[in-house]
Amino acid sequence: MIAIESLSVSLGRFAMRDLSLTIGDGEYLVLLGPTGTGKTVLLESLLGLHRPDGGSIAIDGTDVTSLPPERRNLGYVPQDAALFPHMTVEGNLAYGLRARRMDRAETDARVADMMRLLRIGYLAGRMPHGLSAGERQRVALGRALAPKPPVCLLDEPLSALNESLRIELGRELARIQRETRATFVHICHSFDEASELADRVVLLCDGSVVQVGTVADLLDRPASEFVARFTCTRNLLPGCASPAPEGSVVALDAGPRVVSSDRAEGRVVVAIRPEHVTVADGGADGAAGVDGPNVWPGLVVSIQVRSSCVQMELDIGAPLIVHTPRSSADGLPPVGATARVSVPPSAVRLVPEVGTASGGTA
Amino acid sequence: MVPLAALVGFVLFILYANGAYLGFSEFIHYLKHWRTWRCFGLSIATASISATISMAVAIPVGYALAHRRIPGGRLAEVILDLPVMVPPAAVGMFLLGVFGIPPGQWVETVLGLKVAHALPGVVVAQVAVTLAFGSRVVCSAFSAVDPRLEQVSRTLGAGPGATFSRVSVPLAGHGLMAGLLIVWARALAEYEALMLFVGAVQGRTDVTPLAVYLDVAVGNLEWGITDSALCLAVAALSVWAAQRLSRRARYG
Amino acid sequence: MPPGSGSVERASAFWVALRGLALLSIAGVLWLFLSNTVLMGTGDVVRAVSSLAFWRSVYLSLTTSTVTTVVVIVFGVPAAFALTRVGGRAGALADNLLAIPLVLPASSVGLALLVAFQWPPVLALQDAVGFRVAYSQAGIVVAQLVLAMAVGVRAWRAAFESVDRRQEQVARTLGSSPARAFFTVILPQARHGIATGVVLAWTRAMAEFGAVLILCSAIRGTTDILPVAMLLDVNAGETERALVLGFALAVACAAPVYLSSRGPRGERDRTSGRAMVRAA
Repeated sequence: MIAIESLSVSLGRFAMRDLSLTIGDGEYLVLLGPTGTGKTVLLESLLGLHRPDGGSIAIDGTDVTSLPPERRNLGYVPQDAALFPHMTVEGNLAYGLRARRMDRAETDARVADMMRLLRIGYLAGRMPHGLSAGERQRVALGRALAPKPPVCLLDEPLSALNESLRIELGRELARIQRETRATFVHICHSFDEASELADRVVLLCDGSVVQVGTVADLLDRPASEFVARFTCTRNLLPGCASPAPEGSVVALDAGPRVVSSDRAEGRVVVAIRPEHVTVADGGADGAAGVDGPNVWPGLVVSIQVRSSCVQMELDIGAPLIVHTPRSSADGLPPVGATARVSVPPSAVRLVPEVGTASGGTA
Repeated sequence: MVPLAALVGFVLFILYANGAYLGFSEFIHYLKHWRTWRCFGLSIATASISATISMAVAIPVGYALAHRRIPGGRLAEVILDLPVMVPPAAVGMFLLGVFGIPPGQWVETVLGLKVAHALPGVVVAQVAVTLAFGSRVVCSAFSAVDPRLEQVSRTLGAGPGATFSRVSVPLAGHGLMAGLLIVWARALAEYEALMLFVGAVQGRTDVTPLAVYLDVAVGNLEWGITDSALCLAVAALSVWAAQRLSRRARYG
Repeated sequence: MPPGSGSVERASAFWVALRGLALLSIAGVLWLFLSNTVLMGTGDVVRAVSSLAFWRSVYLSLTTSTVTTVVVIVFGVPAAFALTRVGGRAGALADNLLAIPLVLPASSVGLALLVAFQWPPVLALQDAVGFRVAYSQAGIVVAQLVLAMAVGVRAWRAAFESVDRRQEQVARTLGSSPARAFFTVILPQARHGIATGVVLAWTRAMAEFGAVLILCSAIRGTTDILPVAMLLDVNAGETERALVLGFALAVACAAPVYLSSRGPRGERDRTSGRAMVRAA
């Protein structure tokens, strides 16, 4: 277990203040956030590559804050793999074992194990120079895992790869993590990538933790407008909330009133995920408000067909993005028609306005 | 284009004039003379010793420089760089002073090793002039190594010493070899500091650059040109090799 | 970020040894420069500085190296730019020819110049014009020129190479002539590197000694630039006076280089830094 206690690091213009976080044994943790929010700085501080200004880091109860990198026993897969260009793949894999003065036979056995685990036996004698991006990442992972560290830290291991390779290697990461039962801490900036791998996600912004939780937590209960935006909640409409029997009613700054099951009062942002909106052909009269709250007439502005869904933009007084699965896209109204739009109040989230992280789930 | 042609033309003219003045048979005559080779051998020997001493100090110091680990920070770096900026003639002058007063003088009075106006002085002067320059070259060779590789090595359990010897030095290897060659060539060509510190003494301190001076002093220009041609050949060879090495360092 | 800086570090024997060696080197350099001040009493300094010969040497050094630098700029800057545009073997050959003075002993450079300018046809030409290079102040400039040119051209070439070639191409597509593109796009961006080159060329001219000694000989009152005067003093047994000259020379050469190497970081550092590395 890694316990980070009010860690502060400053590096040039960047500063990370008072960050606390606990990483459990055997979990796949993804550190998520836009570029320049301190994910890499946090990772490198864990590794001992930066000296923190304050706070502490403990691994399995031992304080390692003042230990140099070579005494922390953490695996590290840097962003660009950073294989030693003057050693063969085998030499790279064995580096950490030789640094620990492991005997020859055991080293060879461990290297062979790693090559089997990562399926790179065919690369053994090759130099890193001619390897493909995917092969480099595998070797870098094997090098980090060979000394059997309890925790492996991966800095954007998939971001240099193309789409299909990313999916393939992502699956491999999940498999290897299961087989080695090591704790993986994986940095990325894509929510999609995080959602494919993470047991738990830590969302960072400007050097501090914004929200910690499972992928579903982040999707269903965003703690702030920033989280909602980052998880691709496309509809974020500002308004003013007042209490109501079943939650609250929000008067949008532009558009209709929205009923939500969340309780809030004052300025809020209404967050509605595009897949939670239902669109039906409105008919000639565009019958509104018949079967309950949050049913509005909407003008269809545009329709785009995507690989996973159909995306529609509607005008209900405010712009609204709607995703409908392609399998049920047959009856959708055409551009220019008036549709009947509905959202269940339980799918309407109320979050604080702009970036403030207070009052969220944690 | 015209200025470039003018400069190249000027250099070619000087080379031609010297060749024409010397003549081929004279060249061969002096090239075969034992004294030419004695001086040249002396040059090679002193330059080799100096370059070895310089690099032995410059490699660790240059590594510390590249990693900004010099105690004293920016000021210390400037001080280390001073001998590169100060003219060799002034360095020679200062050496003369240093070995003329007590702590330096003891080398001669107590240890009995004659430095000024003697062969050990040649090595001292060559080291003094090339050491700072060598540190600079070594520093740039180590700076070219991706710091991430050194960091990875540390996270894999190798300490700073093991990282230095197993990652930094092999990766900077070509650059370090090129540095050694350049330092050696520079020590071989050193003349100005020697002129002030050891002086040109026939048969004692006459490494080739000083031999050229002595040749001119006695009016034997042909011999001087022959010595120069030898220097040019060695310099061209070492610069060529150094360029090849640093090119390999860039792509390897 | 400089490599490895800031990493959590205990006092490892490795770094202790390295830092110790660095400290020793620093102490050595300081000793070299400072212990000499003991030799020169204030009286020596005052006596040397108040002598006419000292100021004549300073004046001669300053004027010759300034004249040299002007000539070097006039020929060297365009030549350096031409070098960046001449590719292949011809460019490499020209580059190496111009670098010869840097790798040859200064005595050989001086001898080569002496032989060339004393060659009968050239001697006749000089007489026709009305002055001789060897053993005169014109010779000082010629000797300085050869070395300062080599240093300047290298520095300027590096400065021009650090400007992205595509910027010139874009300027051309926007309707600039090659000359206009040079003056409006390339020159402004390379200006710090060019300034560094000027400083390096000037200090190299100031420092020039070996070639002058052979081409012009050491003649009191005629060719006694600072380093030559220093040698004359040493040979006359006037070590203290020579040391004062040495310090004057050291300051004159080190100060401009030091001053031009500092200043705001960023672009200035990049181009001038590269120019310095290349020239060294």
